[in-house]
Amino acid sequence: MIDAKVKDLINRDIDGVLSGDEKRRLGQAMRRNTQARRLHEELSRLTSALEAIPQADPPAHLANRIRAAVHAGEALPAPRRRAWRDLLGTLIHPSLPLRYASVFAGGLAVGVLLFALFLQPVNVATMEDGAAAGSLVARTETVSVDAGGAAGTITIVRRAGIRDIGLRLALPAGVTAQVAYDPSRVALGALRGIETTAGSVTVRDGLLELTGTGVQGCTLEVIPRAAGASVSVALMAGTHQVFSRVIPLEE
Amino acid sequence: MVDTSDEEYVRRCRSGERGAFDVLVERHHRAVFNLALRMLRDRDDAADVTQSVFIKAYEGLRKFDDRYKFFSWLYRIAVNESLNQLDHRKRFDGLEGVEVTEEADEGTDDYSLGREAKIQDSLMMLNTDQRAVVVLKHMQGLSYEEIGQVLDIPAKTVKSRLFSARQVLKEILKNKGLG
Repeated sequence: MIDAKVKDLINRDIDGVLSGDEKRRLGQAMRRNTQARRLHEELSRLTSALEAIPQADPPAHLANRIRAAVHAGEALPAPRRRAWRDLLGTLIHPSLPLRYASVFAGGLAVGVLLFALFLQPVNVATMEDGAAAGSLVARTETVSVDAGGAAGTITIVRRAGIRDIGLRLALPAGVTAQVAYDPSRVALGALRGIETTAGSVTVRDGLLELTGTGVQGCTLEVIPRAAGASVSVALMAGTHQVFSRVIPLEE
Repeated sequence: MVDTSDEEYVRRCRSGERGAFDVLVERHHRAVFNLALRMLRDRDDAADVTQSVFIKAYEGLRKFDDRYKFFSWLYRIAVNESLNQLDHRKRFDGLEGVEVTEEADEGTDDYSLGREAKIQDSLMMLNTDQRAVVVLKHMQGLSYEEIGQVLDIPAKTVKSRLFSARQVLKEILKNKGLG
C-alpha cells in the first residue's frame, strides 16, 4: 500500500519538480516502503523509454507544401488515402438531400435516354473539327516573372482536360522555382522540355523543384481531378518566398 | 546573433509581412508533425494535420492572444486537429482498419524499433485525454503549466491526468512484456 501523498511525491519527482525538502521526504518514504521504491523505479523506466523515442523527420518538402498552401489561401485538401472511404461512407449512408438528388438524377438519365432514342445521332466528326470544337482549342496564358533577381515567364496552356504549366526562368544562385500541387486533387502527367544548365528538376510529394543558375525550363502536364483544383508557383530564396502565384486549373 | 521571438514574427505577419509566417512554419512544423504523429500513429495523417494546423493558425492569427506563447496556441490547434482526425478515422473504421505507416528512422536497430513500436501501440491504447498529456509532457517536453495552456485545463488537472495516464501505460507495457 502506498500513501496518496507519497504517490504524488513519486510522480512529481519523475517530472523533476520536487523541492529539496520534498526529495528528502520521498527518500525517507521509499526507504520504509518497498512498493513505493518499486513504483518509482517502474515510472522512471517508463518515462525514460518515452523520452528515448527520437523525433521523427517530417516528409521531405512538408514545410514547402505548407507554405505554398498557406499563401495560396487554399482550404485543406481532403486526406489523400481516405477520400474513397468518405465517398463509400456517403454512398452507404446517403443524406436525405442526396437521396432526393439520386432519384432526380436517375429520372433525368432515363429521360435523356428516351429523348436520344428519337433523335438523329450527333455528328462526332463535326464536333471535333477545328474552331467548332470549342473547348478542344488550347488557350494560353502567360505570366511574367521579375522578382528576387529571377526573370522569365510562366505559361499556362489549357486544353481539353489537361493543363501544361511551362516554366522558363533565369534563376540567380540560391533561388529555386517550385510548383506545388495537391496529388489528391491534381494528377501528374508528363514532364517535358527540360532545359537546365547546371541545375536539376525534381518531382516528389506534390512538389516540382527547379534549381540551378542561368535559364531553366520545363513543362509539367497536370490534370485537375477535383473541383477547385489549383497549383501554386513560387520562387524561394532559402526559406523566403520572393514570388508566388496560384493558378486555378478549372476553366 | 539575436534570435527573434515567435511573437515578433506574429506581429510582423499581422502587419502584412507575408514571409514572417514562413519562419514560423520552418521553426515549428517538425514539432507539430511529431505531436500529430504520436497522437495518430500515421505519417500521412500527421502530415495532413500539420498542414491544416498552419493554415488554421495563419487564418486565425489576428485572434491569437498575445498573453500566451505562440507554440502553445499552435499545439492547441494541433491537438484539436488530431482529435478531429481520430473522430474521422473512427467513423470509417468499419470500412477499413487503421493503417499504420510509421517508418523507422535509418540506423535504428530491430530491438529498439520493436520497443518503440510497442510503446507507440500502448500510447494508442490510452484515451485521447491521457495520450495528449503524455505526448506533450514526455515527447514535447512541456511543463504542467504549458500543457494546461495547450489543453485549456488547470495545471492541477494536467498533473492528475498525467499520473493516471502513466499508471495505465505502465500496466499496458507490463502486459506487453516491457514493464
